Amino acid sequence: MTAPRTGVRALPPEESFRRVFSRHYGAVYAYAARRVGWDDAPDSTSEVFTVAWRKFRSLPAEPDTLPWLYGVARRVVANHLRSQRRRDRLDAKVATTPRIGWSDADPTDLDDALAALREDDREVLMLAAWEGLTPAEMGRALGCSANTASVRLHRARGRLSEVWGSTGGGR
Amino acid sequence: MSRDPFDQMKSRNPMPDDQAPAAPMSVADRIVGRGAVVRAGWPGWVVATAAAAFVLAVGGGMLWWLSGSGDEVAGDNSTTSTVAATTTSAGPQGVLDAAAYFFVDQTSPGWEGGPYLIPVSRSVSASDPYPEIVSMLVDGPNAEEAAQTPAFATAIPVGTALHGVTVTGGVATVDLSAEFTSGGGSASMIGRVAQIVYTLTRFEEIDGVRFLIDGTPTTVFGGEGVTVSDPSTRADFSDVLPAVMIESPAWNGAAGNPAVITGTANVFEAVVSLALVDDDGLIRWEGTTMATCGTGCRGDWTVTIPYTVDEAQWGSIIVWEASAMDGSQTNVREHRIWLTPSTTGETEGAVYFLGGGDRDIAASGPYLIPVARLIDPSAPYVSTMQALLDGPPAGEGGITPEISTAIPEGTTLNGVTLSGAIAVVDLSAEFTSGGGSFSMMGRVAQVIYTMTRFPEIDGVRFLIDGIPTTVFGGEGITVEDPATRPDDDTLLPAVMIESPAFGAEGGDSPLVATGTANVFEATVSITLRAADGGVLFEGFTTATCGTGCRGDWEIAIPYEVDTAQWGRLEAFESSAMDGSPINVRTHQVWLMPGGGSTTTTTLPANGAQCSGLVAGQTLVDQPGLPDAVADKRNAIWDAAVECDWDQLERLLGGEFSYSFGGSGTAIDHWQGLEAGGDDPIYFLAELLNRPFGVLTNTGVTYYVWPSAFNQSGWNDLSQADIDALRPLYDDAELAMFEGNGAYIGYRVGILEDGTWVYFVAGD
Repeated sequence: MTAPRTGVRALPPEESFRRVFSRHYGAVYAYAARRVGWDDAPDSTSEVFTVAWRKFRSLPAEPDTLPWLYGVARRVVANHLRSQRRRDRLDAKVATTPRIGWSDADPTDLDDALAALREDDREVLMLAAWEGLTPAEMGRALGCSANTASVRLHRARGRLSEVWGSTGGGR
Repeated sequence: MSRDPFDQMKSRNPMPDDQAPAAPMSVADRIVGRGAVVRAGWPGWVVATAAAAFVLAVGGGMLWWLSGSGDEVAGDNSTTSTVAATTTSAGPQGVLDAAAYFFVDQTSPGWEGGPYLIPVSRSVSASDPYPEIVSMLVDGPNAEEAAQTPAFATAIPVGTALHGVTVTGGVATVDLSAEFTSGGGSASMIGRVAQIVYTLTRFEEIDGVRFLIDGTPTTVFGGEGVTVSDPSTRADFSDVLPAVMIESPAWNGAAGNPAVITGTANVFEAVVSLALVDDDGLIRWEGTTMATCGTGCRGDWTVTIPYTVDEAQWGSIIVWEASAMDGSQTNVREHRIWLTPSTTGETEGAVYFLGGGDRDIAASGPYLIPVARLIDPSAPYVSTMQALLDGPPAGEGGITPEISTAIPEGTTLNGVTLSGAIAVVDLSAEFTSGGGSFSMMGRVAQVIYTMTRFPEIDGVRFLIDGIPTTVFGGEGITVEDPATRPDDDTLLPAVMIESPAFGAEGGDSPLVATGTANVFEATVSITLRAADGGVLFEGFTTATCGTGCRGDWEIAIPYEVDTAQWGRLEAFESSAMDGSPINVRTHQVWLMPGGGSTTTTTLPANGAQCSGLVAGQTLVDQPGLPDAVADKRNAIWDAAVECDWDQLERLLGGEFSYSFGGSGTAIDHWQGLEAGGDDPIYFLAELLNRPFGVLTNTGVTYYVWPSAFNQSGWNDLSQADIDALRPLYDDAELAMFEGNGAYIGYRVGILEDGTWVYFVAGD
């Protein structure tokens, strides 16, 4: 996973970084936009790549680079949401569910079902459905094995169906 | 369309990959360009700061020397890499932590341009440290330091030789070769003298430095005649310091645990902000401290930062001045530092036993409860498992709750190994003996919960005397391989306290409590009691999910006690019927008297957290208010922005509304919200600065803020009324009000005669 970036090593690190940045910016931006919304996505994305530059020497080679970046992005987004939570609380009565980035355009029962899931379940589902990761890639992003990722996805899908059914989804 | 919600989810990607923007390469350049790496010659910042106070070039001569990638400093690599292993002051090998002062570029809005001094960690022998550190300083930054981001540089010319250092009566005398005075303008000359002075006076026993050049006492350096005092002290060179300077730990230095960070600063109102960041770049601690002097003078500051890391790693301490304009970070200084796990002999962990606690009549406990245990940090898994097998000593917990274990007596541990994120636990056959299916489920869950409390462990694989086992007991309890915390929560009480564990140390105020709950409307009530049963804190928090699902909750509980004592942390659900406590979970918690907590410097004297301090600076005049109302408005504002709880309490009218349902006083209620991370007092102050409305209800006239709180509903509001709610509320929240048909956020109401009658939110 942290195999040396043979072949890229010959380039100056700035240039290698620029290539990684250019190749993966869009994917990381999309990841952030899906979770924190369009307004905050550029900042979060810059933060991810700033971490990547600081840890450039341990950046894994392709094809593990993007899952690794997703792993950083997950923590950056978590940090972001944590600081936002304070703002988000209007009062205990009206703010019973966290505001979710994807729900403002078209709130539907699928969003409600997703919102009712645990955060880790939601993340697994989003990584699979929206980032289109394989279990192995998901494992790299989440810091677990491919098997564990498969199991988590399986369970999360089960729970989504369950909540979806109970909230009257799939009409 | 597929009826599988997962397939629907796929087709409803809020941001398909093909819509992602192209990479803005200027951002990449900015990330890379922070103190761009320089291979030879001039560091980037020399060019960047050409307009700064430093004179950079005279007649094309090179004024700043970099001891970049030269072979002569190769040996220094090993020096820096061993720093991490040495602890503070003289170690057993007679090694001393010292620092050489180099220069680093630093952008400093509102401050004269850099470069500025930075202490960089070096290890020297305790027997003869002074010549050694000066010689390391003269050698310059090592290859890595000269090439890293940000790069370090030295003003001491290449070829300078050290003849010797002697120390008498607090004054060090340094004898250098004539190269020391060669080349460079006055800025470079001042810089190199300052490097020597700061490096040597970092030793407590040295106050000043005298210079000899080839044996001749010298106070005038270079062609431009830079004159220094005899002896020279740090006070002569304050120009080469950044607005915020970290003195200790030096760059690459060991932070210790807890980390003690010291420095100096010349910043607005003496307020210094800090963050401790781990190897992943994530913030582990954030807070502020006060320098001894500020706004125009340089003061000292010290902060002790508690932190926990699982393994030793590089991190950073970042220190800055928060802009008086917009709170943004300015004058940022960052040191790479070595973080280490706590060195105390044992650390506090927890094991899960079964404890009483009601949930509902049909399925009352016992339920799992985490109980504090001291564990050996060098063998955390084995010592934790052993503590679990040892079971609760008779009488643990005293009266409530009754604590027991489902693991049969005589069960022994054959071993615990970690395979990835899976703990492989090998137990003796006694583990599967006796007990019905509930007991079997309980014991398996005890092991799973205990091991997965370690953040690095996701699941448990069971071996019984070396044989992988997934079916337990005659009744055939089956677990997955690996087994993780089960999704169903039959073994958990309605309100579960995860941390602090039962019997754990609460630590300094505020006590941070976390847990899970499956309660009505996700509202978890929290009470902290002293040993004598007196209430130290009452408040509530909201779980991430409620009324039928289990969510996580977290709350920071400020408390003050005079002596260390066992307190009781109660987490419970308030009955939807009559508000009485139900599903109470109680943990014994060791409470400590305050002090040592560095975050309290920003808090008002009474110790409670209060967001009023961050409200705007002035209250605008509002013509049209009756005098009595205007006076009360002014008084409430003053009390809110000063966070003067006592005054706020005096201002409350007799029949005052602060909550629809809920107990305690208005002040308690608001303090509870503040402690839980909400900011009602900020809203109180800010709302009074919004347009007001006048409402009449059963003959009584109310003056209310904001004007958006009306009787006829959201659709009757003018755009100005709505806009006035920003930035307190954002688009999503405004949309929520619209959907709700009315503004239901915080509002303030004062009667015509000046009686303050409500500050409340909700409908």
